[in-house]
Amino acid sequence: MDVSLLDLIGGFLAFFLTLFVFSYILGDNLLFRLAIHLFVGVSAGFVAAAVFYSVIWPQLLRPLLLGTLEERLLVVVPLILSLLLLAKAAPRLSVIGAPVMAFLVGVGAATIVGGALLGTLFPQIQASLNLFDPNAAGKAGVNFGSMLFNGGLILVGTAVTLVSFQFGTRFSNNPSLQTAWRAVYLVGRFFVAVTFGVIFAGVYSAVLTVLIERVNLLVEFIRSFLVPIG
Amino acid sequence: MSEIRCSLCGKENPEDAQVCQYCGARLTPVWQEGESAKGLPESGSEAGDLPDWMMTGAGIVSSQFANAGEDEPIPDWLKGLREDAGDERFLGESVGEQEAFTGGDSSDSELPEWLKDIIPSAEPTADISTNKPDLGRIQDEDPDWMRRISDDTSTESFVGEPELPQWDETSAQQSIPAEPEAFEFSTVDDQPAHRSEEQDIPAWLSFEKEGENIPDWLSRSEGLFEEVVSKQPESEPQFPSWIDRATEETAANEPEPFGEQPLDEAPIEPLAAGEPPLTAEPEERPFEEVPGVDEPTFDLGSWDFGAEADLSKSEEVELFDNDLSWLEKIESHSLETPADTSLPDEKPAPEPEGQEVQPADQYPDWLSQIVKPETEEQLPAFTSDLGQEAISTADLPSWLKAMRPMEALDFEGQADAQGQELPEKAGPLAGLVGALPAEPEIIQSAKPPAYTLKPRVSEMHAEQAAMLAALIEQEGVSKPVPQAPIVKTQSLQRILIGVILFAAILISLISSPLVFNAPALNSQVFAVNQLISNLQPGAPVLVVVDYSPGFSGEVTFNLKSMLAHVLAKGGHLVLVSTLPTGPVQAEQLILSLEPVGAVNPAAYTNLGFIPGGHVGVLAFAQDTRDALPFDTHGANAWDNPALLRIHSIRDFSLILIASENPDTVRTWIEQTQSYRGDTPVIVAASAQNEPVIMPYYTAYPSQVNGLLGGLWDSAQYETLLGQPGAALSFWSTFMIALSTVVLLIVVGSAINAALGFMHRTSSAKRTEGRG
Amino acid sequence: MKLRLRTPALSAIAIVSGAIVLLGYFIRIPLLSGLRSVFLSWALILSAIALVVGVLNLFNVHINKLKAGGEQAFFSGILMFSLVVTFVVVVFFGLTSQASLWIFNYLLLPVEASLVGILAIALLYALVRLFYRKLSLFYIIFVATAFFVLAATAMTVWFDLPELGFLRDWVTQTWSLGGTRAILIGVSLGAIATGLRVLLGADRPYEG
Repeated sequence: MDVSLLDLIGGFLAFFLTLFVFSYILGDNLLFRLAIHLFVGVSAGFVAAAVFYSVIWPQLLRPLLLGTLEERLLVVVPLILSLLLLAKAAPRLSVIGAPVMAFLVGVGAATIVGGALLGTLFPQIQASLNLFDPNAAGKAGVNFGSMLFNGGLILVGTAVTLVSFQFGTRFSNNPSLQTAWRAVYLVGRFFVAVTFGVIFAGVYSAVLTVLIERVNLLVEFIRSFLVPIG
Repeated sequence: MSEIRCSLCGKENPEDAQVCQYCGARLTPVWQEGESAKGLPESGSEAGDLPDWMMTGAGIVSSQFANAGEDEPIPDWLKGLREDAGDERFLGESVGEQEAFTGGDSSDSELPEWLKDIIPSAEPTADISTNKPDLGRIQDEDPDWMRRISDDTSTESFVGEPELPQWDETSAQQSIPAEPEAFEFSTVDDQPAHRSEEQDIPAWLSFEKEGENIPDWLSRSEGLFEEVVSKQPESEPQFPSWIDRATEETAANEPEPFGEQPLDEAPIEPLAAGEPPLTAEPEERPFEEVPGVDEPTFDLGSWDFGAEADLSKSEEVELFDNDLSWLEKIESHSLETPADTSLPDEKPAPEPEGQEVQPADQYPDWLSQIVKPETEEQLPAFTSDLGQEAISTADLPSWLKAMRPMEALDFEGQADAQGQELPEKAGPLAGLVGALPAEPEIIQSAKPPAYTLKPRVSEMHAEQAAMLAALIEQEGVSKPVPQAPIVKTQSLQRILIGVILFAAILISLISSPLVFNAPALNSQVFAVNQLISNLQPGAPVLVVVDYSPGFSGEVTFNLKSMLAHVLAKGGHLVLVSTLPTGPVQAEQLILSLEPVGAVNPAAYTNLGFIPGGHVGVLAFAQDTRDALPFDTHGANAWDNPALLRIHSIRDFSLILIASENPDTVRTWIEQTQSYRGDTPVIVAASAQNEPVIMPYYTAYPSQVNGLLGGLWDSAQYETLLGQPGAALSFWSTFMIALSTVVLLIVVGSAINAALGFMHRTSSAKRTEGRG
Repeated sequence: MKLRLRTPALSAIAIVSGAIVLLGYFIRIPLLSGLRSVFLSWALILSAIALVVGVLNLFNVHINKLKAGGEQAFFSGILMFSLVVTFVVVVFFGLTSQASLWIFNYLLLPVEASLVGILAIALLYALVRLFYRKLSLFYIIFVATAFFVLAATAMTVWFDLPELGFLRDWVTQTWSLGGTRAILIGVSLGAIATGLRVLLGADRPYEG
């Protein structure tokens, strides 16, 4: 099969699939569903293929079939665990896959805890503490006064936003404290609203760029047919 | 006598005591306090056995009789009546009532002069106050009460005497002076009991309060009576002659009737505290239940009549000739009351004017007993005469019945004692004999307390109950079917937005009407450029292709520029991804770099897919070779000379993370935090996750050393590199589309705000309409 | 009874494996690091197998739908056909072969990118639709900020107003930074709390 012909067919497929998806603007329809089901099938096929190419073959089957005895012995345990885990696909045998799931959950939880603790919590707290570090101001290329103002603003925003997350916990029955707590909550909600507004603007910029790229693909596809004719 | 017996409590008090030491009731008669209170003690000798109403009927408070009749024991029932709370009122009411009754009545054999003048000329005069048939008719039909008294006693009674004209004549002289007294008692308007009954006074009687509405005949009659009074000896207040006659039967030696006290010498003092109110208000219980009996307040007119009479005799005659036609109605009404019995041998008891004559059947028989001889010689005769029939018809003799309290009496028992049935006076059973009264008097002696049926609930409970009732009520009400969503309006808006946006993009892409300059450079773009520019030739650069295919149109703008820069610097690309489609995307990315297909396959290594998310990244960061030992072609990836020194993630010269997903970026930053060392990190982000990555970039020490986010930064970076690429080619279209979006936001928001306002307004109106 | 015996064993597996991996973040002992590396490699393989289990489950579901017939059977057939063809082609030709790239470029990428593209219309419609209702203060601030960032981006270019660009950067990089950092810290705290509950045996999602 000629490659150019495949590209032509692919071009038509991509063109019409794009139109099928854009038809959702008019409402849900069969063409949109067709495109979606095709997309899900292709994605699942890619997942299975990627797993086979990246894990099953190089780390299970290849050592077992082509590896040394040591490699074969090392692969026995994960192979058995994999078989047990595959039993989860069958409802009757799903019980035997529970220990493997427990192992996966335990390792995954520990990974998440360790990563969040060392990768985000501690560094971000340290970053908040270093907002007024002159070295940071020098690194960022801003003057000290500006650093103080912006740093204070960021610190206040961080603090009140965190406090607003815990608003559901009423820690005091003192009316004055509750009033102050309410004020902090409102300020925190203000910072959250500003943050979400900025994120929304970024999201819209991203999807608008993708839309432009898609429309450009359609234009280029049509133009590729018109230019030879013309 | 050394002691005075209290008429209220019956206990003895010192003679000089003014008030009872026990109950505080006045002991000395009111009249005795005046200079001309003469004759009262004498008259009181007989009044000791008189009932209150009869005592007060003479215009004297009951205490006078108690003082006068100190030797006479007060019956228990009488004390009980006084002690009863309701009896005070009863007593006071009966005072005025009986006063009116006796004020005009007389046992004297002589008619007063004014009556002598009136009767021949105007028979209806007697009907003015009595509401009874005229005198001629009375001659034939005795009043029931008179006949009943005669039946009970069989002895001489003041009503049984045939000298009716005499008492009528004398009463005409003696009763008139008593009229002012009656007036004084009856017009105690400031007493609450009287005021409370004013509304029950017939309209034609209310002239007293209205003043200017006093009928002419009354005003003239007042003048008449004043003139009559002036003719009477002022030093001799007259009492009704019938009382005098009754006392004559019991105490023939009565020197002076108390009615002889002159008007001016018998001032009526205001009631002392503790005394029962003296009002002319009719006693309710004994009379109101008797059918055919007029309201006792009927006497008010007569009292006023007598009190303010200053008319001359001739004027009075003229009055009656001219202005008494209305009384015929009352007369005819009274005539409707059948006289069930007749005693032809007895004289009719003409009722003098100015008094209220109660029908005899209204009064219990014991009332007639009181006026009987109180001597013990007379009592056996009285009882013996009564005896045979009374005992045969009842267990108790009438005199014993008379000892019973008033409340214990009823007309049935009275009829039984008399051996006859009383006809019904009114109502549908009028005329029937033996009909049981609808409400015996005894039933109403004690009015049951009114208990409210309303439960005692608080306001909160009432509100909750109302709310519950409303909820229950709403359960039964069918709810309106909610309106179908306005699909057309929403679809139209969505289509319009899509069409306008597509049109703007198409016009910009096809015609390129405007060309905008690239945005100004920012610090993070400079940082990326500096990091890549510092790469040494052959430096391994880890490229994490973790953006989804959907965002390839945006992220690839950043990534392509940076990869081209890295390749230009001689770096070696190691491609990896945590997405299943990542390896294909990475391959497609390398192949799409300009010039297309010019990249040496030895310049990059596609390690493929890292499964497991956090676990896979951690495994890759900790032991890179063991996590992904082969590339996507199945070859040993680490045999490449450029990757010989790579054992961990810190061995890379640069880590470049391309993703639109903030979680993915965060996963890489977190899991490589402990292993990457000083290896700088650049994030080729999308515009949507750039704000989330910004804290890592701005942190000190930095967790992200360079950041390119979205088309904005890509255009800057291409501008900085001087290699226009896809980002700058879409820059103008992006600006036009973004400006269109801003306008759509303004217009669409205004339209939807207006639609929403109209919808809320119409909904509120519908709600109000339902409410 | 069976469940009682099994549950502690599963919890023990999760706790022990998790503890070893977690301790490896803080304690650098060769034996512990080696054991941790083994556990991580096993977990990496098992995670890949878990993806396969997911694909098998998806396949099984749509087989049942295909057997059930009807309109959904058609789309299930499309899905299963594309899944099988993609898997076979990619495995047979290679993960980064031209055939795989063709499937990716002409089937997968257009659909997914188009889905993201129509988000531009859906999000814009949702934003303006917000004004149909009464906006609370939170929504007003949210919409105003988003509108300001977008409008400032456009107006900076249209009218050449660099000051407006600086103001936009100040809002996006300073005002929102505090909230974003708090969100990151909050997410981390939540992740830590959730992970610790699993490691302490309070949550046992593996029992199902």
